[in-house]
Amino acid sequence: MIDFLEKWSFFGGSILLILIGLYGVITRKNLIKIFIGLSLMDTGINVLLVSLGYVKGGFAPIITSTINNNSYNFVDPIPQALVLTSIVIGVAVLALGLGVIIKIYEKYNTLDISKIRGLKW
Amino acid sequence: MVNIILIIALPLLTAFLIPLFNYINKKLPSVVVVLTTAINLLIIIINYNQIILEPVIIELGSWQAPFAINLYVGTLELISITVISIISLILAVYNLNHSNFASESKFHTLYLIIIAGIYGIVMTGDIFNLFVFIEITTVAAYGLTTFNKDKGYEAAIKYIIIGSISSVFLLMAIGFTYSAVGSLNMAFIAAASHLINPDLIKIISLLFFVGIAFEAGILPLSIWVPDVHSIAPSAVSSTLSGLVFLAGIIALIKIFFSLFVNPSLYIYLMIIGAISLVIGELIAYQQDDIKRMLAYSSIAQMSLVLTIISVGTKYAISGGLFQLFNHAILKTLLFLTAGLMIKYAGSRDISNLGGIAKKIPLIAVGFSVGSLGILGVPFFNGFVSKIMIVNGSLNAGEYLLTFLILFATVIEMAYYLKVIQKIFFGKISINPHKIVKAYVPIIVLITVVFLLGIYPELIIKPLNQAAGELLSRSDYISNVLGGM
Repeated sequence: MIDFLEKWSFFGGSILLILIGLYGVITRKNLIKIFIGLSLMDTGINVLLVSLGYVKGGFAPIITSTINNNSYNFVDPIPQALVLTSIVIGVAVLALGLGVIIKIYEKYNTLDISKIRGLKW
Repeated sequence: MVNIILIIALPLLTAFLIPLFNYINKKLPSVVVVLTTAINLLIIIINYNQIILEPVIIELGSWQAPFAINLYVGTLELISITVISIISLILAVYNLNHSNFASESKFHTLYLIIIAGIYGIVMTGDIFNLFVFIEITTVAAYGLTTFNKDKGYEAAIKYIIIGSISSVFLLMAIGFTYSAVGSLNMAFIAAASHLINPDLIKIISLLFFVGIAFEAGILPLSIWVPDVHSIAPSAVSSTLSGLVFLAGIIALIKIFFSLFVNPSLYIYLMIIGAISLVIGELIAYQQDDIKRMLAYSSIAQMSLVLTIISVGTKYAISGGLFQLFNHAILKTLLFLTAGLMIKYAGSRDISNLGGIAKKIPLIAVGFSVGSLGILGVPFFNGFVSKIMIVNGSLNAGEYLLTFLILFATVIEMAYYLKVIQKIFFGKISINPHKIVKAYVPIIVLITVVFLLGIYPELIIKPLNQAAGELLSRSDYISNVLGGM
């Protein structure tokens, strides 16, 4: 059981997180809740990317005085670099989206998408 | 030989210097945008003759190909960046004094960023870099959408939500590809793609399709298109419809023809494209808002390009690419003229544009030239590409597809001719608003349309070369990776 969890919790958990986020985006009516869903999806994909490069018991890929040759087990640094970029992009989009939401709230005085003309789909 | 990476770097640099220029003089930013896009065009012209002979690979940070990000400029990329630079220059000239937000320097900053992002999508040779450039383009586009104070925020929210969901799928595709291959370099992935489990390739291809098709305007994912395109300012609509779609389709072509070649998937692309084509045309036919009509027409045209390219023969691919570039030129013309007509009449409804040609003849003629070009009337640039598309699908034995393409053209003809009939022969029922007439961009665009219509050899020869390069991907791999 523990083995199974160790093996699949990263993949399964992150994909579950993405699906929860997607469910939230599709079903919620409140704009803020929709953006929480989007943010969950972002987190899920970040966890997924990191877990792709994870090596059990691996070290951070930095050469120090104690870890100084190639025989050590290093985790893959590239997914981590990707995740940093993706986090930055996610935050930028989230900030922009919340800014637009503020404008919409000023205009309509509501965040319910079923009450905002031009947002029904 | 000037380093071609400047065409990405220069707009990014000037984009963030725009506030400084604005501080010096309020009129300076728009001039700087024109200069930047003109310099870009110049750089491409200088390099043109060399790149057409042999592809240029730029290794960033001077690391060897599979280890670092590289930019790849082959014939296809070369034609795309040439078209992009010409259109972006024309739009910059249009923005010089034809927009009521020309004083807002933020607009020019975002415009330059979106141009840089589009160049990046077309030229990059690294899938994560592709993601970054797609995000640069879309985030700038979100911002540009909000410039219309009337309904811009609602359209922007829709765009942001769909864009974020798609980017998650794109990242997932990139992650799975990386875990299967161990590299992000497109050429390396292409070289190793036969080692990946075929089922995984199908999943990855689907994820890539979901991630990029939103950008390319294929229907199930592009429900944001009509809102954003119809609400954004005309220059932005032209950029989104002409250039961003172009970049999206180029990215899709790269994924499906260079990265994972799996001819069994092309049939799905063809079906999705054909359905999206017919539905797009049918919805466009029902629209009364002229810019919404053009937006749905863009969706249909992009689907047409996708379908015909997925036929997979060399002739069909060059026909599809020709249509792609024609569409970029024509939709720029259409959105600019439609925007001016809307401003002049003070109404977006086609029924309120009656007889507008008697008041602003050049703009109405520009709109008609664009429409007839899209329809594929002889001597307009769309004619040759339509012929090539129909021929290509017939030669490949796709008779149903040929029928659907011709059927879609008939619907297209119905709604475009309806508008032309209205603006030329309708009863005058408008009280005119004052507009600044944009003669130079419209005349230049009309000239380009006729130039490509009467002398198509200008672009067909390089296009054939590009289609050949697309189909011989072992050359691409050995070009980038060397003897590896």
